[in-house]
Amino acid sequence: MHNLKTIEMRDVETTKQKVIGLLAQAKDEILMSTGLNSDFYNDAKIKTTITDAFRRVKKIRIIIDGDVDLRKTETPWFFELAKELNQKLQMRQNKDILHWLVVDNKNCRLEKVHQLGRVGTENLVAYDVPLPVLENIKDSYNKWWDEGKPIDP
Amino acid sequence: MNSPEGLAEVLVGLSNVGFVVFFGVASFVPIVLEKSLFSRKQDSAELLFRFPYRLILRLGETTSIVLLIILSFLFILSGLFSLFYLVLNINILLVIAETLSLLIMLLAILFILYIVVCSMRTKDEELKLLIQYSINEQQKLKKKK
Repeated sequence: MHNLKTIEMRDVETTKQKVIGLLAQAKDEILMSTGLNSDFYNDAKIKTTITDAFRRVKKIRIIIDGDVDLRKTETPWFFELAKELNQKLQMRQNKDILHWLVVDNKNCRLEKVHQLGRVGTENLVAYDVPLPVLENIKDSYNKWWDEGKPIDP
Repeated sequence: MNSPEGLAEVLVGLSNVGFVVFFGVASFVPIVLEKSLFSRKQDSAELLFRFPYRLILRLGETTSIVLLIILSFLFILSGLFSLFYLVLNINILLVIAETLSLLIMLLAILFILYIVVCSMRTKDEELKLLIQYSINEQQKLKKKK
């Protein structure tokens, strides 16, 4: 609570920078729920940062929002990476979920509800999230995870 | 009371009370957090706006628990030195017990002050944003579904 810091973003470029910053700090675990929007995730910097972070951390769980086959054609590199890291990376598919990124049980990126297929413009990055809020976020994430269907990348 | 024996007896009593209080807090705070507050996850984020909850959360941190346990064992040590003085009547034991008690008191005051001051600091705007983006958005999504 004492070190809680939040930054609200309303444009894609700043969101990209902050997401890159979050992933660059990741050491242990990454929880991600995403629509895998190609405009956002095919950005070279995002791709490099995700690749490095996924290779570095010990555990990764990803929930893909919506049509997985469509995402496979739009962001193939992501699924190739998932295949490569099969041992520590798990993926599931669900629909109508919020797009979140939780890094090392501490920092997160949260996004407001937006139409699937579009890049969400209202985002919040929070550092050193207080435990009760983090527990709430993880509870919802785990619920979506349990309801989701496993994906074979 | 002014006699060394009287002082040693007071120190033994103090060490007992100190141990019970500090070890008790270190043992019960995590249980209280786990059993009551964390079970109300939806509300517990809102509870962060309240000082007592922030204080309990701060006390429940690993560093605080470790410090409380160290302090409680230092109390025992001080009591033991006083007891040994009463039994063996070696003056240095009482001096050690006195010094240790003073040190523990000082540490305890600093620790309590730190915990209270840190818990008083609020980050209301940040917290509101966080709740808006996490809990409120979840509720919005549920309504949409």
